[in-house]
Amino acid sequence: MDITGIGVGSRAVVGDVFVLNTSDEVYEHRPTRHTPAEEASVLATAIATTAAGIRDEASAGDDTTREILDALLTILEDPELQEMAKPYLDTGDDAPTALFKSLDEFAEMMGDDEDFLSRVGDLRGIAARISGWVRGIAAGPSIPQEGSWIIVAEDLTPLETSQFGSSVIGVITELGGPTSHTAIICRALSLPAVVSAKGAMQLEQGESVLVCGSLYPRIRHSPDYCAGEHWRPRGRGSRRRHLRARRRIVPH
Amino acid sequence: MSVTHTMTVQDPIGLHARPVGQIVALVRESGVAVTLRDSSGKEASGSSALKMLAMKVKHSDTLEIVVDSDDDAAGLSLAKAVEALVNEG
Repeated sequence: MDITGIGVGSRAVVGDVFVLNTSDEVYEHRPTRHTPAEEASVLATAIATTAAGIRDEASAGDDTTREILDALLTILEDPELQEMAKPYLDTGDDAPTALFKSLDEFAEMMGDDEDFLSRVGDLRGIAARISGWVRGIAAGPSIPQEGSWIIVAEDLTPLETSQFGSSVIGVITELGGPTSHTAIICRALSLPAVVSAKGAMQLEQGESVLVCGSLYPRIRHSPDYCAGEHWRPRGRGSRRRHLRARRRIVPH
Repeated sequence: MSVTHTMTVQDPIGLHARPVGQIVALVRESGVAVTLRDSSGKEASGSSALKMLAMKVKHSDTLEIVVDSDDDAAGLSLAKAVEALVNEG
C-alpha cells in the first residue's frame, strides 16, 4: 500500500530505507546517586563537549545549517538553562533528566510562540546527544557513508540533516510540513522527500522504496511516473529500479 | 554611562532563535554589557539567549537597546549592530 504525504522537490528516487530512530534510553528520566553539584558539573561538561563536537562536524556543512545549529547550541549553552536545571538536580535527577525537564519548562513558558515551538524538537535532538554522551549510549544509529539510502524518521533535526552525505538520496518523515526544517534542507540539497507521511515509521530497515517528491518528476533519470496507474517501469535501468521498490511514498 | 537606542522590530516573526544566537556571539565578542528592554519594561541581557527568547518579541514591537559604554559612538555602533541582527537575522 502506498504511503502519502507532502512532496518536496521535483525528482523521484528508488533506494533502501534507513530508519533513523533515537534510542528511548536517552530520553529516560533517571535518578542519580551523585550529589547535585557533581551532576551540575557533568551537565556543564557534557554541554560544552557535545557543542564543540557538533560545531566541528557542522563546520564542513552549509551556512544555513551551521547558523541554525549555532543558534540552538547557544540556547543550550546559556548558563540560565543550567540555573533552570538546578532544582531538578537538587531533587535527585541525573544531568540529562534535568536538562530535558528544563527544556520542557522553557517550552511551556514560551507557550504560544510558534517559531520557538518549532525549535523545541531540534533542541531535544541535541539534548538527546548530550544525554547519550553522559550515559555512554549512542543517541541513534549513524547514517552509512556508502550505499543509496532513503532516510526515514519521525522528524529530522538540524543535527541529523547536517550528517547527510552522498549516500543519502531521499527522505521520508512522519511529521513536518512544507516549511519545516526537513523540507527546507531537502530543497536546498535537492533531495526528493515526502514529509508528514503517516505510517512512514512502519517501513522496514533495508526495504526498497520509491520516493516521489513530485507525482510527475522532471529529472530524466528519475523513475518516469509516480502517479497512480502511470507508475510502471520505463527503460531497462528504471525497470530494474522499479522492480526493486516494494512501496511507493508519494505526495497526496 | 550607557547608550540607549530605540528600534522597531521589522522581522515578520519577531526576535527568533537564529538572530538571538548571533546577538549573543556579538555581545560576548564586544565584552560590553548589552540589555534589551521592551515597552512593558521586561529586560534581557544580550548575552542570554534564553532570556531574550523569553521576552517573546514580536513584529512591530518597540525595543530599547541599552549598551553600557562610556564611549557614545562605540556604544551606538554596537546598538545598531544588534538592531541589524534583530531585523536581518
